[in-house]
Amino acid sequence: MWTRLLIRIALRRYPRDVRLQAGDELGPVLAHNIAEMRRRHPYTWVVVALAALIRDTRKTRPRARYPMSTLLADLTATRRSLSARPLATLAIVLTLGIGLGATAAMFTVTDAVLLRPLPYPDDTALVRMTERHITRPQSGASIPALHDWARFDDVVSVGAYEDAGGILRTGGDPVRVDGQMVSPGFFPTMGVAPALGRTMGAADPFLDPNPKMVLSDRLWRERFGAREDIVGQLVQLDLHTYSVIGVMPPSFEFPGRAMFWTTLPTNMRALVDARNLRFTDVIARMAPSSDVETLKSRLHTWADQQRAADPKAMADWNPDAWSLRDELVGSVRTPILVTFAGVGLLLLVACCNVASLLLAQGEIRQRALAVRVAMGATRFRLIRQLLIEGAVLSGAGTALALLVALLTQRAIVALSVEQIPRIDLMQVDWRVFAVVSALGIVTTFLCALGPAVIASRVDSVMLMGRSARTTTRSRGRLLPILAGAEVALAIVLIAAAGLLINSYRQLLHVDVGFDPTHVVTARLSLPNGRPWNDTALRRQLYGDVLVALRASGSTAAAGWTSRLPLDPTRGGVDVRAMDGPSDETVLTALHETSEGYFETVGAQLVAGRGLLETDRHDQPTVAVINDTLARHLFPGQSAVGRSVQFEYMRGPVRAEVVGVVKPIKYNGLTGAARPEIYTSFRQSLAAPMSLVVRSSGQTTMAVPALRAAITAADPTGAVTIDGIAELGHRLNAQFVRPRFFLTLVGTFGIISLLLASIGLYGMLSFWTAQHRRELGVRLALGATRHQVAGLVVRRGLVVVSTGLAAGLGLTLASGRYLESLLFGVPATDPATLTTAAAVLMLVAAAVCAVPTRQAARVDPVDTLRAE
Amino acid sequence: MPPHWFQILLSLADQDLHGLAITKDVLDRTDGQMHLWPGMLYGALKKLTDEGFVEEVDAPADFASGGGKPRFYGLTTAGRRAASEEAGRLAAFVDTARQKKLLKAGRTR
Repeated sequence: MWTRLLIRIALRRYPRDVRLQAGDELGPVLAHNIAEMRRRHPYTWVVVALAALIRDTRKTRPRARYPMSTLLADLTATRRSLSARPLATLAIVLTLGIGLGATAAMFTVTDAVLLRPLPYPDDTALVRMTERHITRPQSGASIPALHDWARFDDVVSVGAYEDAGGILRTGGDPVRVDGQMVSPGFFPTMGVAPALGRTMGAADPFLDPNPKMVLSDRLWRERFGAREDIVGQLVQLDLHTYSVIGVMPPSFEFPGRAMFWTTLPTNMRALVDARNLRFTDVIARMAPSSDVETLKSRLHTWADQQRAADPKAMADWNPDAWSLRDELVGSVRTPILVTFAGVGLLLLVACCNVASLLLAQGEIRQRALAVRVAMGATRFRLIRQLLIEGAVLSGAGTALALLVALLTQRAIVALSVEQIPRIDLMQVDWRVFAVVSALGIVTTFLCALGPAVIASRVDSVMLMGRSARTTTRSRGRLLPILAGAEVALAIVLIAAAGLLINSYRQLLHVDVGFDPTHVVTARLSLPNGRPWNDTALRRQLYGDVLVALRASGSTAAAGWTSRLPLDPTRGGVDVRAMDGPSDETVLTALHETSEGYFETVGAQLVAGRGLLETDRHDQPTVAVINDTLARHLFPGQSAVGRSVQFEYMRGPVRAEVVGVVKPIKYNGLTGAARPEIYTSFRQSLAAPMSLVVRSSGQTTMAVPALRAAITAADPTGAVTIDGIAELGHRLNAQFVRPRFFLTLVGTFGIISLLLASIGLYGMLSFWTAQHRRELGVRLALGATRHQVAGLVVRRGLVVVSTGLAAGLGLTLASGRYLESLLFGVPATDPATLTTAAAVLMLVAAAVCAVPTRQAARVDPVDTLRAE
Repeated sequence: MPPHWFQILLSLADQDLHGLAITKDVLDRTDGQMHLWPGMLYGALKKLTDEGFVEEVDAPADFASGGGKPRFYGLTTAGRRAASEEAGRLAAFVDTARQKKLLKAGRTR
């Protein structure tokens, strides 16, 4: 049986000429040899015979002269053809690399900021909840509301948290630390387990008579040397002693950069039952079946019930809920997505470029491809060969892209780390690799398939030596279309970049109302409780510091303020003009400042005077208001000398307006100026104060004087300086985010302009080369060089203007997506769009010059002779 | 000259044979060392024919086939000469082996 099988196999494998030669003997000879094998190797003869057969049949096969059917052959052919045209290969790889690289970089940004989950389990279930005032920018939740919400079906657990900070005295020099007071439900809601010990939980009382503290990893390491026995230790914060019950893992510092979390103290009892004291922030974990919209409608139902029960309590308030992720990244979501779309356009431009390069290459290799067809290659083989070439190119391009992404990663983080949340999570990892590789494959397929199909449309007739007009036609149509598409896409990016540049310029020109040059700021922390809760003592301290600073030679001016410029203001007091035209109240931000404040920060007085040292506690209350408030309260009149009234601290305050100042920006560069009122700390003092000092020389010169003045005023060292910073840095930080997006989009614009120029140049060059004969004939028949050059110019003009029109249309249509990135400039700004178009046309003109000259220089005699 | 060519020529030296017979003869003579599989055999026969050492001849009158019509091959004059030269070459090697006492005089094993 085996013998018959072996013979059957052999008969099939031997080629025709052997079978012919052997005639009828093939079978008998085989049988004889197999029988011999059987005799010599009784147990393994099948295997031995089969091996011998295979060896024998291998020797009989003709050696393939043109290996048309192996992948290895294709790769060899690829290597040969790519290295024969190094410039084109390089251009394709570079274009792909840059296009894919920019996309990869943008993907890592988007991934880090928007896609990666927050470091909390099931982070999409975490929501913030609050009540918002209907008209004022005030929000917060009351404790009774918190308990109500905990009972919702849509909510698994809730936790409240509130800013807490103080001077930490244990473990080293006194230092100000910021943390949170939290309700027992906070840690269960967040869902992160402690690294050491335990956290507060349901078993802990809501108001804890035995204050407990959970440390952050940072505080534990920096302050307590990461000691293993920290649990159970006592820690002194201000005047209170806390027992440490646990330490959180390094990734947990919610909210913000909290250093510790404590239980709620029992002296908050008055606050926990008041529905109208909305002072806390709330984080909640939704039930798996619920979502934000459902929760919001549940909240509205609750609000209606509350209003029905007690109209006054809920009078001006509405509840709200939003996802935690929205809170952290919501403000950058749209700009990042828009920029991501921009990089998508760039990738499209790159693809068009690569496709046209491949098309042109296919044209040039026509003859070589025709030879292969004549040798017997099928069209399928040709397409396969060209696609493999495309795959190799895209592989190289992908590798380059990943390199580009890795290199730009650090630059991107450095450009934006302060102002783009979570950008430091940016990482080129396997997901990026997968996305880029997938993109690379798709782009290859798109770019190479068309040209491959077209290129394979050769036939042996081409070998006859004539330039094949028929196939050039389809190429001839595609190249201008691709070039035009590149122009259209490029203009969108260039216009966007132009709009962002203009927007940035507008930002630079914003009058911030202060001058940060040589100004240093310092926040001061006074311990809570005695003796520093005595207002008189604090006044004395602040006054002494100012005296000391004025005496020092290195300060030009100094002052105190409860709020620094560009520090966002929330809430405020309702101010009413006592003798103004209307009785309306204006919600106004109140600042407790000192004499010298306006001079120090360079604010401009437009009327009256600033605050003085003589505006003391025992004098009538005075105030300086900003222009915005003045126009509200006293439209068309002078506000100086008028009276205003507002509720503050213990009762209504009546103040005389002694001066009007130009508005200072507090709520970012782009926010509108809000009404502000400035009082002197000597007359009312409640808030923690920051010191501002203008140095008479270099900014840092003021720092030693600042420290010295504070030490002199408080020899006990109870006061801690909490962060010395330059006011200029605060202002610069406002430009980080706009600069980030401008840099990205600007880079995309430049690259796309470059690619579009290359595409345009290639198209015209190619056309000129293909039509040499026609141009030569025209010249021979009497056309002038101008007319011939005009042909090229016209061709270029048609492509550019069509692309431009399409691109501008696209820009206008997509304008509203860009709005979120712009300031002071409409997305359809005619001046910017015109400039962008002009830039493109200039570059296009420069690029078209070379092929035009080539066309004009065609020698008719040469071309006719060559035919 | 490749060894299997020489063996084929040897087989055909004293009679005309068909393929299978050549195979058997070579196998016998080489004591089972040389298996002439069809590819080797017929490839060699073709090349020998091209070289002019072997030619296809008619079957002998007394040949009784078992069913098929096998092709017979015979040695040409050129083939005989080539075979002689090869044999002489090989004999010289044997003499040298004898001088070097690798082979006892007169013996071939």
